[in-house]
Amino acid sequence: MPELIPAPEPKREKFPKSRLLLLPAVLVIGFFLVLPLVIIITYSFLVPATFGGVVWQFSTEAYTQFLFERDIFDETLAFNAAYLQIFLRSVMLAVSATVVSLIIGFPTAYFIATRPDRQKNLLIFLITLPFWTNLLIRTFCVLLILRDDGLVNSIAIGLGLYSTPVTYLYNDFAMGAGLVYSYLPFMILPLYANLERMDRRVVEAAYDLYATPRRVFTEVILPHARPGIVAGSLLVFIPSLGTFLVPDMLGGGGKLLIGNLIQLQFGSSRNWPFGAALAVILLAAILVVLMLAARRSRVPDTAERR
Amino acid sequence: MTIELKSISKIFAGGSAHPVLDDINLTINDNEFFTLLGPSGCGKTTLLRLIAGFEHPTSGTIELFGERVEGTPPNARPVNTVFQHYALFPHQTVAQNVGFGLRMLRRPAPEIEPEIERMLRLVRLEGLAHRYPHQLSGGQQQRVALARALAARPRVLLLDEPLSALDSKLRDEMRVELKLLQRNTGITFIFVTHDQGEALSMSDRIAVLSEGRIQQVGTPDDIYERPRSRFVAQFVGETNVFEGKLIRLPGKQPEFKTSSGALLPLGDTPADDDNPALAFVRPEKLRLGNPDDLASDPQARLRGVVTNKLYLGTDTVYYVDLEGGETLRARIQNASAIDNRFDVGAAVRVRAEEGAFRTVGRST
Ligand SMILES: Nc1ncnc2c1ncn2[C@@H]1O[C@H](COP(=O)(O)OP(=O)(O)OP(=O)(O)O)[C@@H](O)[C@H]1O
Ligand SMILES: [Mg+2]
Repeated sequence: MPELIPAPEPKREKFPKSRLLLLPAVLVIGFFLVLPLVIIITYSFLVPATFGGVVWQFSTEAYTQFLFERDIFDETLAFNAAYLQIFLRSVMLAVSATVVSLIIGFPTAYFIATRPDRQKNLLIFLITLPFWTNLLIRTFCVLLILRDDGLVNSIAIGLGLYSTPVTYLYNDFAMGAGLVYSYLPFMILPLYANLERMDRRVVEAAYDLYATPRRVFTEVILPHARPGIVAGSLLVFIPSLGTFLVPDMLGGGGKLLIGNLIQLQFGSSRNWPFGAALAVILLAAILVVLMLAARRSRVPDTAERR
Repeated sequence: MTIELKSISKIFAGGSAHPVLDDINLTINDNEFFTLLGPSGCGKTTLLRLIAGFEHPTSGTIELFGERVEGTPPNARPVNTVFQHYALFPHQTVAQNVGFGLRMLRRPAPEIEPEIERMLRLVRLEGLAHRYPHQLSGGQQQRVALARALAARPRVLLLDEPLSALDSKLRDEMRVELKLLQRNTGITFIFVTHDQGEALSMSDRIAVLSEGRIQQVGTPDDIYERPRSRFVAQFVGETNVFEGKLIRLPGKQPEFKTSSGALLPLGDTPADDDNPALAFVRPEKLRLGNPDDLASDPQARLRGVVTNKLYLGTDTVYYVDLEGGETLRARIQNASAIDNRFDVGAAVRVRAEEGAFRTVGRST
């Protein structure tokens, strides 16, 4: 129907009083999220002071430093992939940890979601139990489990699988295991919340219409679980990418990850702008991942609303 | 024989100890429109779920096309279900929902497309092929569920109250549509409903269920005219019921003496009904007349007073208090202007055709 007479514009106050209700939220977001971000971004464009802190002078040196090395004598720039490698290694490790968490977490979440109510609550409680201890202590426990005379080696040798202890620690495997161990609940919880809401009758309908168990999974369960998979993956991926405890303790400190690198800049290296720049780069990378994730999970999201 | 259920019982683990289904024996024939009729909670859905393969009987056997199906999962049974709560796939469009079964059967896409269109035309949803289920009304969702189950060409279609969410006009149309569809496709329909009108108008045979037991199996005519228990007589159609006992005098037609002393004329009482405790009559089998006009009519011995009157247009329902104290409903068709003539307070005689009063035992 063509609109011949435009509807009269509702009169708007310049600043409706109801907007005031947003103020607390705006203040919280501003103070806790925007302000620190502004500080980090500002610092990343300053010049480092000799003993930590910054000199208030604009410079893009911190970002240049990420990719290039400046010759001390003639000030020419040479490409240096060392930091980029650390960055990529961190991404690879975080991706691996996320994938492994998903592979372990999905069946676990599905199992819990299909139990009777009382068992569900108990199992979910058990899943969240590790959060009651400090991350440092949990990571230390992984160390105890994986070290040469640790739990894994004792059991394997006890069972006669091998006779001399295998070194599990201080390599990528140990770091991956530590990340999975630390962040697995972040994968399970959103997946559980999602699968628990799934209508079992829809699964039955698929079975009824000749779907094999595998196709029930790919056609019905997976599309439903997608928002949960995305949420869980982000919750594992993001802290994994920024971790510095795990490489410190389980990686033996020999191989740096981006998290350690940042920590170093604010610690012994006393290069705050470079640390801030690294943090901004990391943040940008995470934002890109988040945006991709948001785009991918949009379709099922609208389909789910009732 | 399409389906044989032999002494099926079902007790849910964790449910009550009372069986949800109790010793069900049923044979459903090829190309039959078979209806399970019963009140809410009597076990209709459970019985369908057993046939579809989602539940397993606690005891008894199920045979589909002559083969026992204990180990056969739902996806390997040539049976599709129209679920009571639709259970549409929320992430798929209407068209994808309808084509789901054919995709699972790995039919080539050029074959699936026209089939989807055909099905959507059948349930009159052509324009909505690209909507998602959450964008449809309840009745539209129900029709998608029907199209989805039919598209996969099952040999048996289980329908769990498929018309319950439709408005009455669409429901009437879909009744005719479903019946035609069943006849044309030759698919065996097992139709669940608690609506007796639906059951009577569509079915070849009806099984009446109550509290997990089969009360009676028969044609709609059997069920309505010759119910074998009080439950069936009262659940299917309207009924006037009288308590009392049978009186057989040699050389006379048997009669039923109600507890208030009224004598009801009976037709031929079945031999197995030797000790009936209840008599009943359908309201539409009664006529009302002037007490004086019918004084000598042997079929019109009941006298009473009209106490209430519901004018329904096609019919008028009269509530008549009999002399003994029972209240009787008589439904008189308004075939001509004089039919609607008794007013509240009028004295009447009630006339019933021979055989209109029937009996059932008390225990059943
Ligand atoms: N999984 C279950 N566990 C325990 N009891 C159940 C279960 N499913 C059904 N019941 C019980 O079995 C009985 C029959 O249920 P069913 O769903 O078969 O009824 P229905 O005849 O289809 O009713 P309606 O017309 O309301 O759909 C009910 O008393 C119900 O509470
Ligand atoms: Mg039901």
